[in-house]
Amino acid sequence: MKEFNVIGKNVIKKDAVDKVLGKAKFAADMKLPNMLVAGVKRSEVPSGKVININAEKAKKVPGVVSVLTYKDIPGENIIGIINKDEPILVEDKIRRIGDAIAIVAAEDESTLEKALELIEVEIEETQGVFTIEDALKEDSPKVHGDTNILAEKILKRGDVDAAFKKCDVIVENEYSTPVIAHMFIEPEATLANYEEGIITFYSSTQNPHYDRGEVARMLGITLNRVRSVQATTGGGFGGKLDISTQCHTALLAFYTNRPIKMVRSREESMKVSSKRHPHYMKFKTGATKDGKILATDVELLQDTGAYGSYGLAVITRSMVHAQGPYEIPNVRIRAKMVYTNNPMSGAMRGFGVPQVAIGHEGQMDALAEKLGIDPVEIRTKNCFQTGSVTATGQKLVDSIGIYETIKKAADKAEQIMDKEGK
Amino acid sequence: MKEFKYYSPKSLNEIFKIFEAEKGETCLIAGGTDVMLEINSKKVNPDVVINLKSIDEINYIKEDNEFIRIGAGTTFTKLSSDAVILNSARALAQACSKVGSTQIRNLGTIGGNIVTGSACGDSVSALVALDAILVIQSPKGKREITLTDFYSPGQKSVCDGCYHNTPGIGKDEVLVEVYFKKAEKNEFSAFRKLGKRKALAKSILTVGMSIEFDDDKKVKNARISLGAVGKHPYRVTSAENIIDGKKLSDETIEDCLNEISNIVIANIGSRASCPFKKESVKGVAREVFASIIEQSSL
Amino acid sequence: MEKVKISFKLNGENVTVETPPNKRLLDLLREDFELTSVKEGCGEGECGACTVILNNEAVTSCTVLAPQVDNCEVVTVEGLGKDGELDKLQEKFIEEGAVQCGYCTPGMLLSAKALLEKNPHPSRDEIKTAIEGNLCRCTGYKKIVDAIEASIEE
Repeated sequence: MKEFNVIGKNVIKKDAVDKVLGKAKFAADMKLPNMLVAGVKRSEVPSGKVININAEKAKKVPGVVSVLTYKDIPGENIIGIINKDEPILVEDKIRRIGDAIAIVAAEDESTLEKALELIEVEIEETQGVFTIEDALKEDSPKVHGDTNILAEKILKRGDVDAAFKKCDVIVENEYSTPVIAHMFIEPEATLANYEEGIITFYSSTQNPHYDRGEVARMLGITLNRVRSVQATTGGGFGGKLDISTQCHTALLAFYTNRPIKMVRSREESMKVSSKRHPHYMKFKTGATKDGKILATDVELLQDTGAYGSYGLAVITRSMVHAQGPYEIPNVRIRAKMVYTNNPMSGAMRGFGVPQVAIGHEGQMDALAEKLGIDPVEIRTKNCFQTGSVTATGQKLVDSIGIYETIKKAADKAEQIMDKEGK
Repeated sequence: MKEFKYYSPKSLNEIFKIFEAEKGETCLIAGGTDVMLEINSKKVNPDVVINLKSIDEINYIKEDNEFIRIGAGTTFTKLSSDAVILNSARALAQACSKVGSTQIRNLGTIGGNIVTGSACGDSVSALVALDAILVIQSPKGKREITLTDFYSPGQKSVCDGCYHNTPGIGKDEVLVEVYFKKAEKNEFSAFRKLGKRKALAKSILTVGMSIEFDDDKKVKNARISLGAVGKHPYRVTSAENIIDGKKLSDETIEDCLNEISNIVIANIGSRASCPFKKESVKGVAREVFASIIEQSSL
Repeated sequence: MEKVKISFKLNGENVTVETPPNKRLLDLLREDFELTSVKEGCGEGECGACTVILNNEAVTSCTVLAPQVDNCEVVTVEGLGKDGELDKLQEKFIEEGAVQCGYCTPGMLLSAKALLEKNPHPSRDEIKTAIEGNLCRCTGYKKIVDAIEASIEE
C-alpha cells in the first residue's frame, strides 16, 4: 500500500503538550486585572410567578459591585438555539428549578455568596406539569403560550394499515428512556471584558458563533462589537451548545466596565444545563413468517422540559431514524414534543437517535423471538443495502456498510465466545 | 465556606485543652472526605475546626497479645494493605479496599467512617462482624464501648451525611482506637460489597462475616453483619444460629441465606429497595461464604 | 478571620503562605500559587480532576483543608518532568492519544505518577485501580491505561 504522510499515521494532537503540562487555559483558569466574580440567583421552585425582586440588601454588602435583573437588559431578553423562548433573566414566569432571576458581580467569592443569599425574591408558586401525559391534558397549566406542544410531526411512507393485514407476525411494545446528563467534566465558565465599546468573552462552549449573536441581541449592539472566543473546553457532548454563562457575564461586564468571571459549580451545572430528551415510545412492527419486515408504526412522545433548546432538531432526527437501519416499505412515525416544568432537554450526542434505537432494536429482538429465528439473521435480512429507500424517500447509493458490519461483529462475537467456552 | 478558627494539635492532650477553651461548635477533621463536603454545603457550621491528621498517637496498627489495635486516624489505604490485617482480619482489609476510590482511601480514616455513622460505612460492616470495641477518650479518661452499642437503636443517621457528635460520642470526646480479637487458627473472615459500579460507589448492601471452625470443620463461632439495610450495620444472630455447630453444606448455607433475607425484609420491608435487596443479599452473602470456605480449605 | 501560617514543600520548593483556614487545598493551589493545572470538576471528591500528590499519595485536593498540608509535600503537574523535559508519563499520554479535552489529564497523570513511584511495574488491573477515582468523559479510558502501561520502565 502507498505510504502517506498523514493518512494511516498517528497525529500528535496540536494542544496535547500544553494539556499534559497543565498550561492549557480553560475559562475558569483565566484571570484579568481588576476582575470580579459573578453568580446567579436562581429559582428554587419549578413553576411560579415572580411578584417582587428586592436586591437592596445585597447591593449594600461591601464588595458587591453590581446586581442586575431583567430590567437592566438593554436589548432583547430572549434566547434559544432554534426557537427563542428562554429569558436571560426571568421577568415574571418561572418555568423550572434554576431559572435565572438576578445576577451579581462582587470582589470575591464569599461576598458574592452573601449577596446572593440576601436577594429577596417573592414568588407565587403555581401548579406545574411534570409528565407528558399531564402536559397534554386540555386543562393543564401551560408552560409557554396556550399549548404545551412545541412541535407535532408525521412521517409516512406506503400504507401501514394495509401492510399490517399482510403480516404473519406483529409485535407491539412500549419503551421509555430517561433524562440523561452529559456530565462534561469541566463545569461551564466565562470570562468577559468590556473595553472601548467592544465586549469580549472567553467561554467553555461548543457554539461561539451562536453565543456571539445572542450576546449582541441582548446588549442591543451590532455583531462587530462582540468578540466570542472559545476557551479550551473540557467536554461538551452537546451540552455546551446552549447559552450558559455567556450572557450573564457579558451583561455584568457591560455595566461594570470590569472583567467578570463566572464559573458554575457542578450542582448548578447539573440543575440548568440541557439534558437528553426523555422519550416515551410505542412501536408496532409487522413481518412475514420468513422474517421480512413489512410495516412499522411508531408513536414518539418527547419531553423538552422548560425550553426548546435543540428540541426541534431532535424531533426530526428521532423520526427520521425511528425505522432503524432497516428497509421497511410501509412506515408511519408520529411525534409530539412537549414542554413541561422539568429540566430543559437539548442536544446530546445523537439528537434523539439513541433513544429510538432502544425501540427499533427492541422490536428486532421481539420479532426474532416470535418468529423463532436468530436475532442476527433478522437484522441482516432487513438491513439497508445499496439502493434501499428510507422512509423519507432517500435512495441510499453508497457507503452502506451495515450488512458487513453486522456480519463481522457476529463472527467476532462467536470467536470470543468460543474461546471462553461459552 | 463558613469562617472558623483552626487548630492543628500534636497530641490528644492538646485537643482536650482546645475543647475546654473553645465554647462554640467544634468539628474534628481527619481525612475530610465527608466533613469537607458538609462544611461546604453548610450542613455543618463549625466555629472551630480541629485537625486530627497531625496527631501521630492515633495513627497505628498493632498486635497486642490476642488483639489487633487500630488508631482511629489510620487510613483505608494502610488498612487494606497491612500484613497483620490481611492475615488476621481479612474482612476489614477487603472492606477498606472497597471504600470510595484510591484518592479517598488515601485520605479517609477508619475513625471517620465510624463516627460518621452512615448506614453504609464499608469498614463498619466488617468491624461489626469482627465484634470490634471502640476506645473513646475525654479529659476524664478512656471508656470502651462495643461498636453495636455505639450505634444503639433510635439514633439518628443520614446516609449521605455525617453526625460528628452522634449520640454515641460526647462533645468533649474523641474516638481514638478500635480493637478486636485476632482471628484464631481456624477462624476466617470475608467481606463483600454490592455497589452500582466498581469505584466511588455508595454501598447498596454489604455483608461481613467471621467464622471459626472446630477440628471437624463444624462452625464453632459465627458472626455475620449486614450493612446498608438499616440505620446502621448490625449482626444477624438468628442467621448465625442456623449454621452454629454445623458443617457448611450447600443446604445449611441456603437456610442461612433465607434467614438473612427474612431479616432484611423485617428491617427494610417498607422501603422501595426491599424487593431488590432481599434477593441480592443472598447472592452477596453466598459469595462471602464461598470466600470463607476457600480460605479454610487452604 | 484569623489566618494560619503554613509551610510545605510544593513541587520541590519550600513555600510559606498565610491562608484563611476555610480554604480548600484546591483553591490554595489555584489562587495563591496560580497552579491552574489543578482543576475543579465536582468539588466533592468524585471526579479526581483536582488530584494532587500529597506525601507520595494521590488525593483529591477539594476534600483537603488548606492548612492541613502544613509540613507536608505536595506535587502538581507543574512539578512533573525535569529541566524542561517532559516526564515519561506526559510523553506517553501524548503519543498514545490519551489526551482529549485535557481537563482530567493533570489528575490522571498524578494518580499514575503516585502509582509508579510506589509500584514501578504495575499490572493493567493495578493501573485501573490507581485511576479509579479519576473520571474521563472523552476517552473511554483505554488509551489512558495504554499510556500508563507504555510508560512503565523496563
